[in-house]
Amino acid sequence: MVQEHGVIPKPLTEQELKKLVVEAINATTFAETLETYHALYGHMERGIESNDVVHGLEGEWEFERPPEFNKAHWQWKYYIAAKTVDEEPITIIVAVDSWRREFLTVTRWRQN
Amino acid sequence: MATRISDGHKMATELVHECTATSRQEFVATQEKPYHFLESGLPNIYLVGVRYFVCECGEKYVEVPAIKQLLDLIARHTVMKDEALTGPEIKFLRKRLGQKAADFASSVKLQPETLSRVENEKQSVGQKTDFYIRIYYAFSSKDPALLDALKQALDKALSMRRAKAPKKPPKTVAKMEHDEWALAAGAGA
Repeated sequence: MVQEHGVIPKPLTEQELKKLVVEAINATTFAETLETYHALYGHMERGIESNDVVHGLEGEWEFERPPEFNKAHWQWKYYIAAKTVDEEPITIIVAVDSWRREFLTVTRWRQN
Repeated sequence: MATRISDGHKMATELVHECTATSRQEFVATQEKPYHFLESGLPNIYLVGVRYFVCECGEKYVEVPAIKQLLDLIARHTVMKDEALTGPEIKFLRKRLGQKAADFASSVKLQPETLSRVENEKQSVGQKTDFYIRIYYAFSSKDPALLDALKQALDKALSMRRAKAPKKPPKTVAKMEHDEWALAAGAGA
């Protein structure tokens, strides 16, 4: 949805975002996924795999920096400091589209 | 103008991609044109029936419902396959278990350097290690289908050993060795 005016919704807290994401990846059937947000997986930098992203989203994480609101897409973007299965630091960017009930993850290596 | 392509129809859609482009194309993966799921870390996994998007900037992203169930299914298929495990497949199984390389290497009796070479396809594993990795995955994942297959294979192997029961059971001798019980050499003979 392209929208540039209106009241900007509040961003989700870490706990709220975690609940939203974990519910989506833990759905075990297609029917269950209809009740959750749709999970879209975008670019993963070389060497990062789906198992790392799932592991990162499910594990202990915190916001790497405050969420950013994208007015063009009318979405909050969250920057998550997570770890791969091999405990290497990654940043998972989660763009949440509450209107479409979907979120997109883009994952890259975190430079400290 | 954003477009969505699905079964020949074009519809407007939005963008949720990280770049600044304002449109994406939507596709539905079909049997004829499946989505190559390289994000799995395996070169030979294709998905059918999922939606995927191609951004103006060329980036692709895919909607994967119930991703953990999908990854478990791929792991099960990998463990059950007839051919030898490849390096990326071993890495996939390890990561599916959520184990660091050093921990997994220790569990499957490999040196960490060896596991690294195996995962990077610079070395292959022998048949015994291959079997051991499969069995280790089945037990660790507690996948009911794999445990059932393992039980059947074990039943089959044991049934081949169950020849006629001897009239007099052979002696079984246990002996204390290094502070713990052990079966003595020739036990059961």
